[in-house]
Amino acid sequence: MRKSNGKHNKKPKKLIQEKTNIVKSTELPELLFYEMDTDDKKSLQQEVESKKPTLMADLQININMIKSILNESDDLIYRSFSIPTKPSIKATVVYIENMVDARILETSVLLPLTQTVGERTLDERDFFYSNKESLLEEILINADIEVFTDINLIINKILVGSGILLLDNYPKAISISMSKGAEREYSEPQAEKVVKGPQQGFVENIQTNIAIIRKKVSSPNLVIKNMELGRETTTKICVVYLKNIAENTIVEELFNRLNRIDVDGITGSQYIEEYINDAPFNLFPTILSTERPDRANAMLLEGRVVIICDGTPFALVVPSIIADFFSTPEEYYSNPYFATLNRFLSYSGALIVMFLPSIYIALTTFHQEMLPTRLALTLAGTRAGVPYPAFVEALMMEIAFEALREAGTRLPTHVGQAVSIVGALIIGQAAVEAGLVSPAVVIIVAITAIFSFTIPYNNFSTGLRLTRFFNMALGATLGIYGIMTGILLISLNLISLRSFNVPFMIPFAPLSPQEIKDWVLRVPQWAITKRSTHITKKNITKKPDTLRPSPPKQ
Amino acid sequence: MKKKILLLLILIISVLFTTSCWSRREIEELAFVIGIGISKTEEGLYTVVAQLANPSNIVAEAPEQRSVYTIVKSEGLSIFDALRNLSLIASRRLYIAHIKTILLDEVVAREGVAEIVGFLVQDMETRLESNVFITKLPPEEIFDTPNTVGAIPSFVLEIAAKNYGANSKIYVSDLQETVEAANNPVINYVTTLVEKVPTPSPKEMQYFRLTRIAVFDHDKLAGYLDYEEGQAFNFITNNFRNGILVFKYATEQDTIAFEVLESSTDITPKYENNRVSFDIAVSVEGNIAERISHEGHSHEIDIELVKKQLDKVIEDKLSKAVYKAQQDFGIDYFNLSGDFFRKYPKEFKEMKENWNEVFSTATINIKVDTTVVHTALNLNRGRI
Repeated sequence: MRKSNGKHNKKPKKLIQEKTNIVKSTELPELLFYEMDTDDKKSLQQEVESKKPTLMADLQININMIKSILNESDDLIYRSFSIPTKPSIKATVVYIENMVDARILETSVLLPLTQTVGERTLDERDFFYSNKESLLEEILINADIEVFTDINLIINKILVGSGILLLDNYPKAISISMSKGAEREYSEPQAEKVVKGPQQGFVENIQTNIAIIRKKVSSPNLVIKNMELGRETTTKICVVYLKNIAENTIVEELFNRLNRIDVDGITGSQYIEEYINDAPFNLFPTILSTERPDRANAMLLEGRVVIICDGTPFALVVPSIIADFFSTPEEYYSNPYFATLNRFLSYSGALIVMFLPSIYIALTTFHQEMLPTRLALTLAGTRAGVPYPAFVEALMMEIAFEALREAGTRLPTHVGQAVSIVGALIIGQAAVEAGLVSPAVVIIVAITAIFSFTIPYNNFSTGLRLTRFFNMALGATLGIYGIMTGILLISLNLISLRSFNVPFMIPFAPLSPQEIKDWVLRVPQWAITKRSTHITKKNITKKPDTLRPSPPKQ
Repeated sequence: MKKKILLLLILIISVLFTTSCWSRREIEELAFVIGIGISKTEEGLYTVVAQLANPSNIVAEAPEQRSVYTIVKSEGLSIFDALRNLSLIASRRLYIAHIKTILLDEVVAREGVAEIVGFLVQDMETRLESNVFITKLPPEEIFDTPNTVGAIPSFVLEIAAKNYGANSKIYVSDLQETVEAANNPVINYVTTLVEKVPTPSPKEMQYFRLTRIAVFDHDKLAGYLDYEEGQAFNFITNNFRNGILVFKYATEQDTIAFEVLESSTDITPKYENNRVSFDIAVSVEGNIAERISHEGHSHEIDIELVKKQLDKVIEDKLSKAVYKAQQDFGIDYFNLSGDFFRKYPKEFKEMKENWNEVFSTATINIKVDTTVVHTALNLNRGRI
């Protein structure tokens, strides 16, 4: 099987060139030439009005018809064989590699059509040649068989995981159901849990991951490109996008960057991220990684490109923007108002994580007049007897917390609990009672910690947490002026970032109310009608703006 | 690239370390001055009393009433001198950004407040929201009035000053108004006198009370107004917020308490035939909040009648206050000069020098329009 796959993967280029001529000469129906990336409404109309293209008698023409629709994907397999009738019939099974169970294909299609037919008598084989209906009736032993002539239906069948059997000189296609059965090969997502919503995550196996995406987005526009990276490891990676939505320049740029990677080995998607990153030195990631197929699908629909790497259950999404790191799939499965509140919590969480400890330091060492009198007195009272300056005190506690968090995530669960007890008791209570730190600092550290957990994507919040130490040093030396400098430096840095030529700070800079609707607020689904023009330019309308439900008029 | 990073690194390091944390002071090393009192000794030295908070006792679970503050006192040739002399006694660095209460001794106030507040404002640390009071007692005695809730007396004074809106009988100026009055020779300054009152029962702790409005001839203390005149003062200066007006209902001899909810004053100055006159129109809105029937007879209240009577009551009150200002004091402590100046700036320039005389002879017409919203009384008059 594998060998033949390889053959088929390499061959098509040549084949396509040959076939385009044939296609033109035989004047195929219009549908094959219409392009999805014109205006949506137009294309919908076209689809309704167009004559239903049907199959021809010639096998090669039929294959070309399918190819011209699904031409860009690498995972479409054309398995040719000949049925040993008298004389033999050329046949081809068309299917999508990752969605079809190879064993079913072998035992129920290939084996009967070759071996069983070959064992029949000469007369029977002669009869089968002239009478193909009875050949299929007698030989094919599958339960679920349908016969089609409409090419659109055939494409649909391929996309949901059936194999299509085409015979030479026979203007019909037989769809044979042989999709992979087990739905529960994939695991629950670990880092991106949701309460209400699909409980399915990517797995290490790239074929399964592709199948998951193929099953969820069964569109003929879904393009899957295979690549191999790493001289020694030859790790398989797949680039997935919707060709009618994703911007061509971004796809091209991505392939340019991927083709540049000449390394001995790739062991996970994070490696690829570092090779294709726009700002490799920057504290903040510009590429999102997600382990949720539903998130990946939503991103595909926005015009992003998804990169899946064999061996890692995390898919990379390019281009990414800052809003991606502050939204979770959960928000799309819960009440819009509550989801918006959550967004605000995580955005303000980012500010608190970066600046709260430094503001505490600046206020208590430089700007006591900015505190309300009673708060100032309370802080002074709790700090009385603490032997360190506020900066050292806060720094100690922040480092202690980071160590505690690291220990808690690395250790097995039962040991992790012991660590958190020690941390909570020793640091939280004993240190205060011993007078080594003030309770106010413990509260500050705790608030910072809690808010750092409201940012859903860990790799982004690590960047934010690192800036905190820089800001603390600035606050301790220059006070509020230092913090202002910190804010300026961080925002200049973020605004200068780009991810595949898309400004990283959209929808904030450049400010765009249309995009704030989906990325900062979370308006109801029917109100999000447009795609971001920063990410894709060719297919903006997502849905008509008449979808708002209302009670019937009386 | 490498050069750039190196440059940036040098810049950051020099910025962070060459400043050596200029003006850094840890919060626990500060002595928060919550109240400051200024008086004069018989020899003519200035005395400064500072009420310092004891933060560690404030956060303690059950602090003793007297332990939340300390009072330090020092003398000097000037106020700044006296304040600096305090640092000879204080165990921590005095920090005057959080002053809530400024007490001025009556003697100092009679000499003029302008120079005293001038110093306080020149110091960059003070904020302008602290309240200024006049005291007849030495300031340290007012400051040393522990209370059962364990609050620092300066805080209690601040709360009492904020509560003026509930009765509108007094008027407390904050430091900003004080400075404005001190800088503008036309404005006559006004603030409130604070006194200690005898304890209601022998075991109760002593407390203080804001007793009278202190009126000034520009910045020199001239005398005091009682609560009646205080309410009138607030009506005329448009500072009346809430308050109770009690009067006898004409026909039935009931005692009625009228609760003012809203009041606004419109002052129209006039200058005709070299005579200055003012039309003061006050519109008051409120409820009848309480009625004590004469000899226990209950009867209906005629709202129209109440309104007419109230107009009269308030008019009388204001006229009396104006008369006192014009005849007894001869000082325009309502600061009507401001209204006059805005309408007749040229004419005012000529009279500026002897404005108080002009004010004393001016005709002041008072018109009150009361709206009684509803009686706010239960039909069954308290019987359930």
